This record gives sequence, structure tokens and C-alpha cells, in this order.
Amino acid sequence: MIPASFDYESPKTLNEAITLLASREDAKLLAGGHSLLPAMKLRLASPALLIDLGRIGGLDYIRDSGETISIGALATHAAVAASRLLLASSPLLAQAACNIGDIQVRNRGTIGGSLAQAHPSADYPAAILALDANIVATSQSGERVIPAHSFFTGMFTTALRPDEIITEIRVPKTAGSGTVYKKFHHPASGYAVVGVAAVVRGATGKIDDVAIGITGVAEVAYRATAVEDALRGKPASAIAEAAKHAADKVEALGDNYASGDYRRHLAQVYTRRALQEALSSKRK
Amino acid sequence: MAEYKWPAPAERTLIGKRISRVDGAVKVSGHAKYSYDYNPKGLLFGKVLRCPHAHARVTSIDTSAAEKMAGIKAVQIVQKPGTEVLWQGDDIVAVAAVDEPTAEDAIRAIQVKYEVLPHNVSDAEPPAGAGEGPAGPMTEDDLENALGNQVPDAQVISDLQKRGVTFQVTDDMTKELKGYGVSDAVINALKAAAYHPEAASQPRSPYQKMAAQTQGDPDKGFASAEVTSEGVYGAPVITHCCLETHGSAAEWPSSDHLLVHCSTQGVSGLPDQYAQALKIPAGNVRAHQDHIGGGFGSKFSPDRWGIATAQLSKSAGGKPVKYMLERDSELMTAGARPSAYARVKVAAKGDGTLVAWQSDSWGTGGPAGAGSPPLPYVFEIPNQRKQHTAVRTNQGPARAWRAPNHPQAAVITMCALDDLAHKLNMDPVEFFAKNLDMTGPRAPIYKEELPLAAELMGWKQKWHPRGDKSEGPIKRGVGLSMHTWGGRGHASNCLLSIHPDGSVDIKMGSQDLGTGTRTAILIVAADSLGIPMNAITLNIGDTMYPPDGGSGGSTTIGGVSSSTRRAALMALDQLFAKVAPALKAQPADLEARDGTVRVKSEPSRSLSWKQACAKLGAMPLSVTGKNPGPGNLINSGVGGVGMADVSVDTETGIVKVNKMVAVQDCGLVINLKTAESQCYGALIMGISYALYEEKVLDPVTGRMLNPNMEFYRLAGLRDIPELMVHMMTDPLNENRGVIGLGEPPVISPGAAISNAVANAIGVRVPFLPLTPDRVLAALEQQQKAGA
Amino acid sequence: MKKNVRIVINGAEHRAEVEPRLLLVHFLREVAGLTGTHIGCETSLCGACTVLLDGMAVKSCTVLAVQADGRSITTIEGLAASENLHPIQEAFWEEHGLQCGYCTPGMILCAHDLLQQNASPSEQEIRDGIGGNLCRCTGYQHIVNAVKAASRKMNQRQRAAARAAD
Repeated sequence: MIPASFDYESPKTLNEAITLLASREDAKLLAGGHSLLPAMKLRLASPALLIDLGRIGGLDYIRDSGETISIGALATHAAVAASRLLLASSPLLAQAACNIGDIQVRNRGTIGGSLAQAHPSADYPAAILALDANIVATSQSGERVIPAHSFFTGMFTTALRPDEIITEIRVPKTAGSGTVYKKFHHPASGYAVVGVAAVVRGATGKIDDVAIGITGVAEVAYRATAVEDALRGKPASAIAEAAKHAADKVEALGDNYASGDYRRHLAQVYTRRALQEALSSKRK
Repeated sequence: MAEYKWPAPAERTLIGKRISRVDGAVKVSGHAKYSYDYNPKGLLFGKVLRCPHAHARVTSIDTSAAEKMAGIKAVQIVQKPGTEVLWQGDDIVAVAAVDEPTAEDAIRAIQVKYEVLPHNVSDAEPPAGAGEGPAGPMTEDDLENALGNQVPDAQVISDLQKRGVTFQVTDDMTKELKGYGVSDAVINALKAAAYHPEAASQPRSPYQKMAAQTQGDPDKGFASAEVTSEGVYGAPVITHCCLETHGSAAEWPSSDHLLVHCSTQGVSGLPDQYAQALKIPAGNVRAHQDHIGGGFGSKFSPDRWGIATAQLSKSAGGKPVKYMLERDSELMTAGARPSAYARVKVAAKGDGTLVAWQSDSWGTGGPAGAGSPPLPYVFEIPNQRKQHTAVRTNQGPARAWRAPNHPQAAVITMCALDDLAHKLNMDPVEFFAKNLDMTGPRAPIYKEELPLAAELMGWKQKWHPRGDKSEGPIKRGVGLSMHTWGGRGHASNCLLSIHPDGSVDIKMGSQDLGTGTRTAILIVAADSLGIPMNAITLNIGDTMYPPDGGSGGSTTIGGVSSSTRRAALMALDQLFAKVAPALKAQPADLEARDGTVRVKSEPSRSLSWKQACAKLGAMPLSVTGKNPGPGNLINSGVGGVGMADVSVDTETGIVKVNKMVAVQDCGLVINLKTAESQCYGALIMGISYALYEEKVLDPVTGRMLNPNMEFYRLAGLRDIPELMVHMMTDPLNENRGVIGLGEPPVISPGAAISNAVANAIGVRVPFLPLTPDRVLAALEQQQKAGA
Repeated sequence: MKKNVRIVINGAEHRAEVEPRLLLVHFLREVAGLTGTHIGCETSLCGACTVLLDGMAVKSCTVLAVQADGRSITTIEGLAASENLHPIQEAFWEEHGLQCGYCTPGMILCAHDLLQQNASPSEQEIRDGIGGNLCRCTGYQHIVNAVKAASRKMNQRQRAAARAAD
């Protein structure tokens, strides 16, 4: 499988990249390439120009910014998965990252690239949503901060404008909360048939606050607000009943491996298990 | 004259030991060359435009734009306008270009128009009465099916006389049939059959009902039974999914000489196939292969694309052209194991003795239907009625897949028997043991294997009546299956030369599929000649060497080991004759051991191997050992038992295999390391088809929905549990001689895992693969039935 | 528009003018003539094409040659520093971690990445670590054994080297 011909530029600075992107309508950004290149090989995407961000230095950081942790868009999944900083202060994203693909994919794929692609079964979106993270997009008109809840707009579509590049992801610290990412790997592709990211804050046996992001079930990852509403201020014993609302009002995707109904069912089971685990991980 | 037998156990220095493969170093260092790695200077790259429809007629082909493209060296129309295409992905036009991207661009520039015809890709149960009624004239497929399924000659002849044929009977055709061993009586009937060309274009039922087969008195059998179980079972079409796809490189050193590097399971068989298609003498075709990246039964022919590759090379002035299938073409067209399903009724006396079997089976092998699975499998139940319906579909054509028809037969039979054991309230191990006398000549081995497997599995501790009653959503269970296979060695020729300088070389047209054939040949030769393996140069994988059978059906090890043993013994006979005078002994008193030729009764009277060979004079000694040949070195017929221990998450339907056991006999083992490896690999491949693999076709478009490894799943490292393999290597088995092992251990895992799942969750999931949604559906049905 | 690339493969520099769409695996096989790297699935799922890019395992069917410009690649042919086999290669041979051998180069290079990060992986860590590499034959049992054996060999040699340095 070979992509259609294209031109290729590899800018050394972000400014150069932004200028290039603004100058061409038929350009696409290339980061790790693990979403875009397969699509190009299948000729599902045939950009005339590829702008390779891989040579822009200094965009792969993961650093403490006080209330939040800032992650450069070019941080690889492997770096996110292994980040001591994240594991200590906001582990959910790392928990999601270590579930992506395999070593080789994690060595190449980047968080910015994955978010920009917005695959309906990608792992990060569930975590990004549950964390209420912010996504920073940069263009010639400057930086724009897009909250997670308004970032994913549909299957493979985001709130990014054509001239914007994701440059940073800001995730809040979750000290004091239990976080879990539970995933049913598609047995072949490794994508999430269902992935549930849960953040649970509460004292023993009682849930003060909870956030749940679910990927793989619908066209776009979503927050299970019905479950969250049913659990705030409730005892842990309410989880089983509440989790049944994990796919309420969701139009579930089906394919030859997992039907829509099966995915809805899985969403409920995995939500229950994620919440129970998050609560018990918190207690430890 | 040497006596052609295997060395006694005490005399074996290498045979039966665990020996590391001789090609290990080249394979771990990336220096092993696969056909795909053939990379000569000036190599052109082939690509094939494939039909996107499951059933269509080619109406026009316009290659003009492609032909004008820079870098395009040849364009070959594979199937002309007017041709009816019977499956998605069939070859239409091939091109050769200076590089792969250019070839890909050219393919996209070719315009092909099709008349899309109605298709059927469904192998669902035939409607009642399907395939009955007067059959029209026989098509080539009908004839092939009848011959391929061993329909008695008398019936074939009567069909030919009554029905006639839709095709013209040519001399080439009758010659070919004769070559396959078809009897003169059938060929004469074929020649005399009425020709009905008009019938070829008439719509035909997709269902070919085979003649019902009856044994004993099934009605009486069922009437006498105390417990009867009924169910439906089956396994879908799966693919071979070789990691090295099918393909070849072809070039013409001169205008009528072809050289091919082809990924093949049968090097020696290739020239004839190329020669027929290209109208050159088979002797002018040279085929070569060093290593192959998997075949599993799917790589015996050059295939349409291989012939096209040779034609492209010819058009490009004989320059080498390489074309390997893309992954999607590989999955769509280059290998499919036929599906098989059956409605089964099976009955026993109250004590568990089997009395009657009835099965209505069906399945598809693509446009030509498919052979029927051997039912009931392993157990010769005294009263039987069975009928098979082959379903013609517009799926890619079937190819032999490791143990053709047996894994399907095991699923159908062993799951039905397991359900019957449940109805009898019997532990399946006891139930199977009770009926082992019905397993024919392999009964004694099964009687040893079954308790051994149970012990290795910890069956007594793990088995419980159906339905794990423990708390929580995870349910655990165990299941078993049994299998059999022939595995007699194929025709083989081992050309062995001993040179006056002491060097030894072997030339064989055989091939090493990765199973360790090279190593096995060298083990036998070295053990027989009493010299180290690395003192022998082995050449295989080329038609310049004596022909050897294709590697399929577990026939290679018996073939190459026996021909090599015979060659070595013949060579020693000749060598001993030359050496005996120097040792003042009779040739018959000599032996070759530990790098010497010596007097058996007085080992100190010896010559070193080199000194001994120097007695040959100026000319090397050269012999050809053959199989078949004198002495009983090989045998056929093995039995094996497979067991599985699984956990099922009843909330998600996910099945996890915890442990698998394989107990297997295969006569005399040549290399225990590679023999065990065959079993381990087979268990894993079994887990793969039991839980994941299925070729999914869209009934609306007729296209494959998972022609890629994103959706076609092979088991991975994380899916593999504890595996235990036990080879039955006792003297009684060894005395039978060498028997093949590639197929048997892959047969049982599907049925054993399905039975373990039934034991865990208390209900049968009827069809493989045991996907989560199927498990949940079965649980739901069980709940409904209970409520 | 072709691009000039300079890629160091197994220590040797390779320069070529390539189309941007040329995949790294094709560069390795067809430009550099190193055919030990194989294509299996074409869609970064089987791992047969795994090579080390600046020491890290990547699937070369999903990297463009231009992305590797100026970088260093290790293929299976270059894993061993000398004529001898690398301990991972030795272990795959001795433990019979291969049958047809087609997936083996990718398996070995992925195992190399794993063992760089985790010198003594548990059985589960091995299965997770090289879980992105598929074997159809299928030698997983012995592949796991081979990685365990490789880990032992490498640790032993490291200890021996450390002792020798003392």
C-alpha cells in the first residue's frame, strides 16, 4: 500500500509550520504519523502537502505548571505513559496512554496527533473529557484555549480551525481522586471497543464528585453525565444502578465485531467496573 | 545389503533428541532470503488490478492511460472482457513498473467496466428441500467435486450417462484426470457423455446436495437409545493469513526458459503448472525457494497472479518482475478454509454407549462448493445417517487449511458428544473413555492419551457439571476433544553424495516451511552416517534437485526422513564395500559411528571418516534414496487429545483461555524440539480460530468486511495461556516409524475450547469463533429458556 | 518533488533522492538492499517491519523515509556488533523462538526495545511488551522463553563486564 504523491516540508520552528499551514488549503500536519499515514496508504486521505512537525524542537515536554500539568503536543504516547509527573499528580492520562497500540506505536504516536485525529475509538479523548483538560491551539492569530468538552465535535472532527496546530494539552492535577481507565481492546486493531475513564473524588464509601469519559461507543467520545448526576453525593452502593445509564441517549456505533447494542452494554459494565476500581484505588 | 530400518534406541545419536534448527542463524540475523526478498538489480515491480465485485462479467478494459505512464514496462490482461468473475479480488489486469509506487499509480489509471451479476456469499443453513430434484448436466465443478469427494466410480459414471456435461471434454482434460488417478471407466464415460453447452449459462441452485450415507440402522439405533441430544454446531470460513503473502519473482534467462522464485509449499510441483499455462516444456522451468513465510496449505500453485507475473516478465524482455500480494488481496483471494455447520442428533444408552448419529451438514468453499467434513469424527458410531450440502458462494475459492475438514469435523462431532455427555450427567472424560473402542485402530493410543491429558490438565480438580456455580461474573470450565490424521510420507528423492575428501552433500527438491525440514534431513543423515550434522551440506528448494512431494497434509517428515535414511544406508553399503578390505573385514561387519568406519565387534579396528572416504578413489559415491522404498520406515494414522481450561466473563462475553494441553502420538520423532514446537504452534493457532478468526462478508455488497489485520484477528502474545505438550514417544509408538505431525494438533483446540466454554457458562455457544457477542447471546437464550 | 535524505543504517550512511511517499521499509529493502526487514500487514499491526529508529522500536511501514532523514536506523542485519549473534538472536535460536522466521526480525528488535527499558521483564511484561508483533506459525510460547533467556544472558554479560571493570 502506497500513498498518493504529495509534497513534503519539515519546518524547524512552530512559526514556520503555522505560516506553511496558513498558506496551503490542501496541507495536512504530520506528527507521529500513526493515524495519518495508514489513512493515506488506504487513499482515504490524499493531502497535496504534508507538513512534518517532527523537527520542531521543544514541543514534547511534560511539565508542572502549578494547578495543571502542561504537555507539549509532540509528547509521544510512550512519554505520557511513563511520565513520573503525570503518574504522581494526574495519572489518568498516563493510564490511557499505556493502553494505546503497542510499544512501536507508542514510540511514534503523539498526543497532539491523536487528539487532532479524533478517532471515535481512540483512548485519549475519554481521559481528556473526564479530566476537563484544555487543549491549546496555535495559529497566526495566536493561541486559543479549547476546553475538552467543546473540542471533539464528531467522528474525526474537532473544533480546530484549518489554520490551527495543537501545541499543548493542560490537564488538572487529580490528587485526592481515584482515577482509572478501563478498556476493552478490539482484539485485532487494539482500538477501544469501549474505553471508560473515571475520576472519582470522595471519602470512604461516599462519592463527592465524579467524572466519566467514554470512548469507542459513539461517533465521538462523551461524558456520561447521567451516571455522574446519579452519583454525586451518593454512597458507593449506588454505582451499580447508576452505571446502567452509561450509554443513555447515545447513538452507539456498530461494526462486524461489536454491535451498537453490545457496545452500549459494555459501556455499562465497564463504567461500573471503572468506578468501583477508581473508588478502591483511591482508598489505598 | 543394508536392512532398511531405523537405528535401535540405544544407537541413536541425534534422532529423537532436542536439536536446534540448522537455519537458526540466518533467520535470526535477517539473512534468510524469502521469495519476497529476491531483489536482483533491475527488478521490476508488479501490481494487479482486482475485481471489486463478488460476481460480475468484465465488459471492457482500457489500459491505454496506464501504458503511457513513465516507468511502466508491461501490462498484462489476466481476464479478458467477457469473462465471468466469481469472487471479489480476482485478478483482472497486471502491470510491471520500475518501482512499486509507479505500478500502483498505473493500476489506478486502468478503466475496467463490469456488468454486475447477482451474488450469494451466505453460507447460512440451506432452506428445506434445497438442492433436491433433478440435477442438470454436470459442470466441471460438479465433476471435480464428485472426484474430489471420492464418490464411487459407478455413481460418477451413471451421473455422466444420465445427466451429460455442460463443458467440452478435451484431450488435455482427460490426460490431466488420468494423471490424478481417475479410472479409465470414468474417463470413457466422460468422453461419451452428452454435451449440453446451453445448460452452462442456466442459473443453478447454489446448493449441491450430496448423496445421503447410511450405516447400520439409524432408526432402530435412535429408537433403542435412552438419551438423545440435538444441536447445531459449526465453524465459519477463515483465512490462512500467511505473513509472507503469496507471490513470486519471475524472469526469462532466454526466450523459452523461465526462472521463478516463488513462495510455495511445493517447489518440485511448480514447473509443470507454469509449463501448462505458458506453453513451454516443464523442463525449461526452474523454480527456487530458500525460505517461505508461512503457507498452511494455501501455497501449492503459482496462481493466476504468478502466471501473470511470468507473462509480465516476458513482455518486459525477460527482466525479473516481482509481485507479492497485498494484505487485502491475500485475505480476499489467497486462502480460505471452508465453513462447515451441522444439525446433529446423537444418542446413547443410559451407560453412555453411543448408538446412533444423524447429521445434516452444510458449508461453503467458494464457487465450487466444498468437500464434506468426515462425520462423525473419530468415533465410528454403529448406526449413522448423514448428508452434506455444499453451498456454492461468491467467496474466494477454498484452499487446504492445516488438516483440511478435520477441525470443522471435530467442532461438529466433539461438541455434539459433549452435549450428549451433559445430558447423560457424565463427565466427558468418562464418556469418551467409555466409547474408545469405536475409534478403530488408534483405540489403544487414545486409551493411553486420554487419562494422561486429564492428568496434565488437572481435569479431576477442575471439572464440574455444566455451569460454574461460583460467585461473580467470571466462570471457569474445562473441555476436551480428540482427533486423528494420516500423515504418511510423500514421494521423496534424496540424492546423497560422499566425496573422496570426506565431504558429504545432499540434494533434494523439498522445501522447509519453517517446520525444521532441513534440520530433520540432517539429523537423519548425520545419525545414519555417524558424522556431525555440520559435516553435511544440504541443498533443498530447487527444481535442479531431485523432485520431492509438496509439503502438505503432514507428509514431509515421513517423506524426507525415509528417503534420507535409505540414501544414507545405501551409501554406507557402497562405502563399506570399498573400505572393508583395508579393515580386513566383511562389509556387513562394518558400522559408521562417531566419525569413523569401524568393525562392529571390534571398534578399535577403524578408519576415520576421512580416511574411509579416501578409499573411494577419484569418483564420489552418489546414491538416490527414495520414498516409497524398501523397509517399513514410515506409517500413517495418529491420534491425539486436546484439552482446554477457560474463564468466561459473563458480563462482557470475553473468553480467556487459561491452559491448553496437547497429547499427541506421531510414531518415531526425528527432532523432539521441532515436533513439540508443531504442537505448541498448533494449540495457539487453535486458540486463534476458536476465539477470533472469521472471514466476514457483507451480504449486500458481497465484499469482505475484514480484509486487513485491523479487523481480521490473529491471536497475539497476550492471548496465550499455559501450554502443555506431551509427545507419546514410547517404543511401541516409535516402532511404527515416522508419521507427520503438522496437521493433527491443530484439529482439537476449537472443539476443546468450545466445550470448556459450555462447561463454564452452562450453555453451548454453537459456532466458532466464540466472540463476546455470541457468548452473551447464548447466555441470554439460556436465561430466556430458564424464565 | 523528490527530497534528498541521509539515513545512517547499521552505522553506514545511505544517501538518496526519494519521493516523499517512499516508506522507510521500502527505503531499507529497495534502496539500501537490506531485506531482513519484512512487510506483513502493511497497516502497522503485525510488527514484522519493526526496526530501531534512534534506538527505539518503530514500525517502518508507518514511517516515511523522509521522516528518518538524518536519523539512525538499526535493522536486524545490524543488531549484532560483530560477526557473532546478539544475545537476543542467540536466545531466539537456542529457544526455538521461530519457525518460518518471517516475523523474527521484528520480534527480536521489539524485544530489544523492551529489554532496554526493562532488563528483567516478567512473563506478563514480555507478552505486553512485544504484544504488537504477530506470529502466524505460531511460536509465541518459545518466543516468550527466548526473551526470558535473552534477558538472563544480557544481565549475566553485564554483570561479568562490570566485574571485569572492577
